[in-house]
Amino acid sequence: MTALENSVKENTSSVGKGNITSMPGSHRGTGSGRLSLRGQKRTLSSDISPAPELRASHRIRTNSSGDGDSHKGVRGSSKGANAALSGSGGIIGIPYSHRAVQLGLRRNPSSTLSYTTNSIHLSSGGESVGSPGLAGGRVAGVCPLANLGNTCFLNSVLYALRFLPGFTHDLHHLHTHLQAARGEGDESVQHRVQFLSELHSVFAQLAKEESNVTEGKRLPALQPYPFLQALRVVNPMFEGNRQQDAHELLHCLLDQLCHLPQDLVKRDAVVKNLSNNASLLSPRPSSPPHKKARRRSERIQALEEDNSKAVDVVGSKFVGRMCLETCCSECEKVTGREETFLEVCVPVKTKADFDDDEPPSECEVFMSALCEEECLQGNNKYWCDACSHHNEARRSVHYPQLPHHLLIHVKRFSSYSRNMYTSKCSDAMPAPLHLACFCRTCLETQLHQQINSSYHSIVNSSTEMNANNSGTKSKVSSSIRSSAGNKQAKDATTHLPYELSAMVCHLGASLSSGHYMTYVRVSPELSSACVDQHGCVGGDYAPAAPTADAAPPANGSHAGISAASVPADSSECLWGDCCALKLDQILPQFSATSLTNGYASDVEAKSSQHKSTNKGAFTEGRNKQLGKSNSKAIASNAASASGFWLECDDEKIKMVTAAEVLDRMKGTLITPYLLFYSRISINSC
Amino acid sequence: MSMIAGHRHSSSHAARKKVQISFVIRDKVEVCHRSAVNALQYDPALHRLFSAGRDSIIRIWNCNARRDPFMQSMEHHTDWVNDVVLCCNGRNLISASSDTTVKVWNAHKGFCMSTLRTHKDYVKALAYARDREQVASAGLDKTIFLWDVQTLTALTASNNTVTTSSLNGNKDSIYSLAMNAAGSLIVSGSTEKLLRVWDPRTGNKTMKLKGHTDNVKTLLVNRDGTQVLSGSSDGTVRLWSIGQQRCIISRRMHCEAANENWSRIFCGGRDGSVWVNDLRFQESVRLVCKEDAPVLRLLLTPDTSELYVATTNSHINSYSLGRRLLDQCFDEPLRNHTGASNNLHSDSPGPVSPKDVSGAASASLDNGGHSAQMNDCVLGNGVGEASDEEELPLLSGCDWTIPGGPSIRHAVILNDKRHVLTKDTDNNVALYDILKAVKVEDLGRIDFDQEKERRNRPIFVPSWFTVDLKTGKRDEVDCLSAWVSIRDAALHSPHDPTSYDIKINYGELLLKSLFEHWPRTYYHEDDDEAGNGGEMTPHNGTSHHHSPPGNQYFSIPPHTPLIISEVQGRTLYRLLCGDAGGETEGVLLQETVPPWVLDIVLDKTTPKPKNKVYFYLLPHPSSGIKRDKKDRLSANDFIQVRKVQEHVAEKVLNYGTNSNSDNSSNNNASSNTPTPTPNASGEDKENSLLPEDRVQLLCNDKVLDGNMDLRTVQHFIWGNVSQDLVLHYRPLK
Repeated sequence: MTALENSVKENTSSVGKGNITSMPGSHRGTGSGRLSLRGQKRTLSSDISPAPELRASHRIRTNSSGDGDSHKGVRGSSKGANAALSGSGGIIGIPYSHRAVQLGLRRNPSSTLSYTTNSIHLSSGGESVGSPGLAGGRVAGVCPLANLGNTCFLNSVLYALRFLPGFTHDLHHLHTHLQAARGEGDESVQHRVQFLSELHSVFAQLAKEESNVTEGKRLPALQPYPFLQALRVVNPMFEGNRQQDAHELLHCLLDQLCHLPQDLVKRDAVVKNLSNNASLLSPRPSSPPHKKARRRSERIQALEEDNSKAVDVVGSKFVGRMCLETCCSECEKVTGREETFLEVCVPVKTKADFDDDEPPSECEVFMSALCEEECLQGNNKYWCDACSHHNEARRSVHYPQLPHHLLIHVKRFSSYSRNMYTSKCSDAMPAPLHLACFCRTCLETQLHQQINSSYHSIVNSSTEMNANNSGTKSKVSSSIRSSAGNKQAKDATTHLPYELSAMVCHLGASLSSGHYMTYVRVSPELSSACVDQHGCVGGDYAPAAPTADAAPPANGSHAGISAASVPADSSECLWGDCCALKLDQILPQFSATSLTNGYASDVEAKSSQHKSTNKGAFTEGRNKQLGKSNSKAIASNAASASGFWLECDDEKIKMVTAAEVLDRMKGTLITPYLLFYSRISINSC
Repeated sequence: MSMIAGHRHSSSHAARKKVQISFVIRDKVEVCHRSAVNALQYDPALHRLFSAGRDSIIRIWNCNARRDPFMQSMEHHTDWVNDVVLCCNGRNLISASSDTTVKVWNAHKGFCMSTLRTHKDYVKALAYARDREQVASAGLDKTIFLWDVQTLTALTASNNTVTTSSLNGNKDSIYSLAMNAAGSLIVSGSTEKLLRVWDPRTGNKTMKLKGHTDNVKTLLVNRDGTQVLSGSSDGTVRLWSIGQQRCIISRRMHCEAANENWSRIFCGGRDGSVWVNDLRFQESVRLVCKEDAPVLRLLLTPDTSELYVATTNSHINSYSLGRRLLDQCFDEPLRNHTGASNNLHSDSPGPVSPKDVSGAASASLDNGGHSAQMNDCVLGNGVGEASDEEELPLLSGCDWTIPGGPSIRHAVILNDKRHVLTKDTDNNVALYDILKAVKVEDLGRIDFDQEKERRNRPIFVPSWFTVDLKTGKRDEVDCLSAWVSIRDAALHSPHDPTSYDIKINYGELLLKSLFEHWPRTYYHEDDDEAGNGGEMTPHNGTSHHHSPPGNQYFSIPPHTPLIISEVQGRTLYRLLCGDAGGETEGVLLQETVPPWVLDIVLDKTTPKPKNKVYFYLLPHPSSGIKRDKKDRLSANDFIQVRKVQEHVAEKVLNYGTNSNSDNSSNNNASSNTPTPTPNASGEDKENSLLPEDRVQLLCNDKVLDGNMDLRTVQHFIWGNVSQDLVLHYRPLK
């Protein structure tokens, strides 16, 4: 792998350097005007993502990087290309100057000063979003991501994924697997592997930074530049410095996660047949790779045997099946087609869309958006083959199977194709923090119970008449119930409720001018995987398995693959030391304060396992210190909603309570755009 | 045969709403329903049954003449008739149709008195308050209109305005409607899943009744307006108390129901079974009969002796219900029957329920599957448990049946764009000639697809019509695009060689014959010469403007209904072709016939051929002819290969030099493409050597038949419509 990679890296870095030299003057020039510009910053455009502070980050990188030469190469190039990027970004006059302004600010090494300037920004911009919440300040233990120039779309998604319970763990195993299979395949597959590997390394670096945290110092922001670069290679749409749609990015990412492993498996099958001959006929240029290749292919063969188990872990957790059904209102015949989905797109619905006299609860509004029914009527009637007539019809969405990670995309942007203008719907549609499973089986069970109960009430009200009949009635209903009960017990793991774990919010008026920030929930589940000795089955990982199992191989590719999949080489799971999010470091106070929910001990146990000795000592000291200041406030709020929330706005990470998050969702300022739900893990319920 | 309609319209009139002409090919008298029967009404005085069908026809049946019950068909609607109501003691019938109109009929004589066009979408339901002679209509446009029957029947052509009050407030399409006899209460059921109640006297909303979980398909109100019975697609029947504003009884899989006043309810559902239920006793549910198709409507005669069942197939079955039979079926004999009969009979029978036979025990609730649904009236019942103990229907067979006919389910337009092959519900295949508007032949039960292949000739004709099996919406086609050589059309008289090469336009011919009975088409008035008043006196009109009616080739059956309607919209006018000579019909035609039709049938304008074929004419390599110039030529798409051969012979190879050659070559293939003159080929005959004997044309190395036209070559031999055709020629010795 080395030969090829190196040459590529050299190329990019040399290009980058070339660009750098052409533009250095402008940097300083604009930078000098920073003070006068600062006031307008927020008002001009809400995406004022600060530009990376090149020199500082370079220093940090080299300081912290001790983990291998391959990274070094990448970093070198990143630095170069980064500068080139800001240079070319200068084409757009204003954003560039902004970045320069930011640059100036960030250059100040003193964290306290940074803080104050930041809060000034926020207050002067009138954004109550940033107004101090519970803890008011930053969370020192979490390493933030730097904005590389309009890359808040990227950061917001990375934050959300990082805090999605189990995601980094699964990704870690996918990564190890891919590394094993690396070097095979054509260039595009290579790029895609590289892309996922960069994603993994972002998380790994974040974890690394966090483990190096020192008391009282804010962690410098990480620049996910290699990842951005790899993304642009995989999908040229993200080239350039424009604002991008976080949703597109997420889609691209999931697409890779779902399809790359399959493509690899397929290709492997083909390659395996040819590889022996091929390697004999055309000896590779250098012998070490040759050896490696053989070893690799052996490993691949071994892996292949259980490939279908392991590979697809990450992707399959996002895949569900939905069914679009059309019911003719005359003959009531239902025609439907089932397909898999990665995300559920829901329209923005508000209470105003409903009957005025009995306003539904927010949760009902949300559910109605999820299971929206559309009526084909007026000039859009449905041609019913059975009736040979255009009739009204009802089109509805059902979910035969819901994924472990449920992504909800709120359709806030509607485009009018005429003038390429997209308008945004900013109505508030509060998302519930907890969402019961709404797959078809669950809803039907629910309906049965409802009807039974309403039926019984009616029966009771006319008891004399129904005296005889009610006996049989209740027999029936009880049998229904009991069967439903059985089912529920059986599917207990498949139908666990969802918990909102992250949401990407879009601020601003349109897709091309706006800003993304992310709210993530911090819960003990985040680091609770891989507790058990026997492989990685534990924490939230377990519930996923039945989900996949329960899926009849719908399109073979996704379902039935992972089961209780233990990646082949994961007998020792290194996730915890690699890219795992360690709560004890992030939120020392979290484990220090007494958590009423009962998973505090879990966290404690976890942290003790993962702590290296010196870290542990440090953390304890830190706990004491921070605990004093925050424990009261936190403890009081901790009980109200499970977990804390972090507001991640590029470099700024703040702690908020669940209640605050709920409050903000009721307003129209933060408009949740992508919602990440994850099934509650078995451990915590 | 009903059910086939050709539609044609011109795409050239975009300004106003486009108007299309359609017609129906059918027998002279259609004695049976061709499709589902949506509604039934019974006139006890005359023992007549009125049935409204999805074939757009309302039929009157004489129930005393069971062998040959058909009396009359009332045709005027152009789409499904969804509901009918008999009022004024059987004198008038009101009908509601998916053509968005409500029509008032003289029920005794069977003619349409007036048409109400206030609704903007399908009219689905009617309700009738006998005491006040008031009718309400409601439909998918979410509004309810109240009509005074006396006013409606008094409408004439001159006095044709009517005032109506409307009840608004429904948020969804209305599928059912009921009023009590006194007209003090009106209830509507809609896809909103709830019942809305109004006081029709004041127009005030009184209440909403919630509880159903799906569309409410059928409603009944008792006489004093205190209780409402509703049947819904969710598989339940509910009895509501208006006073308490709530549901008193809900029956899911079991029948049920009731109350003092209404003793029995019949209900039928999608599974085809009809149940009777004594409202006073819980257990009193009996399967009355079993149909093999979803039940759409039940009708109980006022003396409760007979039950008529209408389903989605075209039959109407009648079951006689002896009193004894019913009494036996319930555990306790009923002492007082009067209540029962009064209630159910009143406007319509009752109801129905669903049930699904396929029946898993709990199935009736799923709205997802094919669960139970209530089409019509009320009552669900439970076969759920019946799976253990299969309940035998009280009546094993029906008493008598009003037979229905098969309906056409598939239709394919053959390649010649003139014949249509159809298959009906009995799997009979038939062939229709659209141009002559007749059925050509019944082919019996043969394989539809094979027959289609067999009959498709390799000829290409542009589409000029669409076939519609009673649908409502149509594709847009330029009806005047089909120019066909008369030879292909097989319309010429074989003994007249001069007609050999005449080109005809299908659309033009058909329009002319459709309107051939319209006096204006043959007695020409001349607007420019104001003094000429001959048009009012047909017998004088022969002076100088008389032209033969129709076209000279054929005429279509006069009983063919002709429908003028807006594209994707409402019907403007419907009449039988043969009636176009009438005075009022003439006036209305004048108002409704679109200008593009007038151009053809009145002004006798021949439509200009529009479709061109562009092609290159090159020497074939084997001919050894060298020619540097690459000519790109164009010609009308119906030009035959022979004409091109002439062109090659005379213009390119300069064989012929007689005077005709200019003429004929002009016709063929020069860039200015004049319309062909019919005499050209006749004169060509004088040439001793026919052009096709001197020159051979090839396309893709296939030798072309001289009778083939260019568009056929383009579609079947060249194969690529988007690319210019390349023809090679080579001289023959």
